[in-house]
Amino acid sequence: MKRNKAVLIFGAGILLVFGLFTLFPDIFAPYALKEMDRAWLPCSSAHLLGTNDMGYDILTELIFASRTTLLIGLAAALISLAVGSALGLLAGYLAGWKSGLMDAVIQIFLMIPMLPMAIVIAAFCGKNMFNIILIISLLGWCGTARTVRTRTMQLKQTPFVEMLVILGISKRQIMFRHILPNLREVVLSRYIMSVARCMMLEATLSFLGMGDPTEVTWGRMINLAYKRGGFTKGAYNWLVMPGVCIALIIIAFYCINHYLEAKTSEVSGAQSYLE
Amino acid sequence: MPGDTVLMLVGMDEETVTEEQYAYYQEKTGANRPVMEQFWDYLKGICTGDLGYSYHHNADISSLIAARLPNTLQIALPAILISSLTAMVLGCIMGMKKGSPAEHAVTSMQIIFDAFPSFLLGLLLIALFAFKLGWLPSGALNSIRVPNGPAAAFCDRLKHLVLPVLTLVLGTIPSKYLMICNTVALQRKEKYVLYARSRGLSDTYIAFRHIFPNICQPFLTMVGMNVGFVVSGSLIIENIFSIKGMGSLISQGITARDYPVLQGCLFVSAVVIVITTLATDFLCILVDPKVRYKVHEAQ
Repeated sequence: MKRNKAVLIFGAGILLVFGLFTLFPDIFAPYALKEMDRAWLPCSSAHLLGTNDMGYDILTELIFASRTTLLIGLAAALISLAVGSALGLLAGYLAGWKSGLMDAVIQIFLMIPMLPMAIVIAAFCGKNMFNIILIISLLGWCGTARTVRTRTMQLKQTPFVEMLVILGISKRQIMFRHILPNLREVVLSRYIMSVARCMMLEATLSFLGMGDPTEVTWGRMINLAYKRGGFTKGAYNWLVMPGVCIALIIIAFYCINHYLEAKTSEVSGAQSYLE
Repeated sequence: MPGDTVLMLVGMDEETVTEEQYAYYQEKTGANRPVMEQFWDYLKGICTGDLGYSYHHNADISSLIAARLPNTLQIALPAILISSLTAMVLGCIMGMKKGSPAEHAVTSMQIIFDAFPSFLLGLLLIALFAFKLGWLPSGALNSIRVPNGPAAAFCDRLKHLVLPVLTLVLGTIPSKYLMICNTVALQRKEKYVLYARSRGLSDTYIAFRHIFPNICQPFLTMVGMNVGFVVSGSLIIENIFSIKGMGSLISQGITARDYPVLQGCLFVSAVVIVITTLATDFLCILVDPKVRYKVHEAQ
């Protein structure tokens, strides 16, 4: 248990730091977002991570980018969670052709190769932040739906639901008032992991040049660093640090998820994902 | 969708094109006919293996894909094979040692690899092995001048494949490893493992001979999904290593607004996904008697 606490504190610590960056970028960033200095400066006390091809401070960009990247991740995961759990709940609880139809829809969406599809839609819908959020969430809900569906089907077999049915309580009330609260843990754990996945997908899209060109995100920083010769100029900070930030946040989410699962498995005896 | 298809194809805009020209090209490309009729034609074409014509590449899409698909498979198949084998071996061994320091180290490693964006991993590998050390080429599938003789050419190709395959392998191991490791650790507490152990069998033997066959069904499904997704999903890898495969065909198609090529590529990858899913389902039946006799009810 002590180990789990340590894992939680590690994850929460990272998230707290990035959360502060997100809320108050002006306080932490040493410069304003578009403040220019000489280009390609190496690391120094004035520019902790150096400057890029336009002379922007890389640390400042990193801090400002955390806001957009996290916002996209959180929002996209929220939408996909809502869609996924609603459909999963219906597919799991309803019977007959309705449930079959839902299952088919979930299966079809699971089969869609996510990245090419996301790129195609992003290219056709125009590159802005709102579209990116929508695309990521519309392609990412099916995993949640499947998990929720399985859990709902398990819950449907439990005596308390059977009793509610015998008492003549309506389907809608059983689903939303009685089963939904019991899905809390599953849904929370799915949400945490899907924030991480959505951020990764956003970074990948931005890296391939499909991101919003007016916003600074970590993926876009890597994209620019790659395209504008961060490699040949040896500006590895510009290239690597956004990736490290992405990795850190995803690891933080993993840690928190790990703690939550370990906690629930203590209660219910179920096995945790990581340990 | 942005832009007028006809105008894009003939390379004019609304100002320069005349009514007659516009009508002529619409007639020629068939863009003035009802959408359903065009779609019906497309479906008929697919049945005969004709996926349409790419105006951007000035080539038949079927032959375009036929030329590109082998390149993608050259990276994808070895990568899937290596990553599945590594994940299986590592997962089985570490699953038996769940909770030990070695297992913690390996699992944390895998989580870090999983959290690190794969495109950056590819870039860093290029930076290290191609730029700094100069051991391996940084992209493409051949040297500009392919060495004479089949053996030398093969070695040349092999050298070019190392980095892309390695990137894909590192990116696809973690999910499979975590899955196997966790299920093995769960199965470890089952009674049949206890009996096997009381017969004096070693942990490694139990893991591979007794536990793995029991859990290989979800593993096979996962590998099958990988095959389907890698065909189009090696997009990033092909982009970074400038390899002419399906992925780069898709990304070129997007920048050039080459709709027929995109349709063709997505169609082919969908077909590959369906075939591999079917194949894995059959494989599961072959491997797992529980599925064959319906003893174990799948969810």
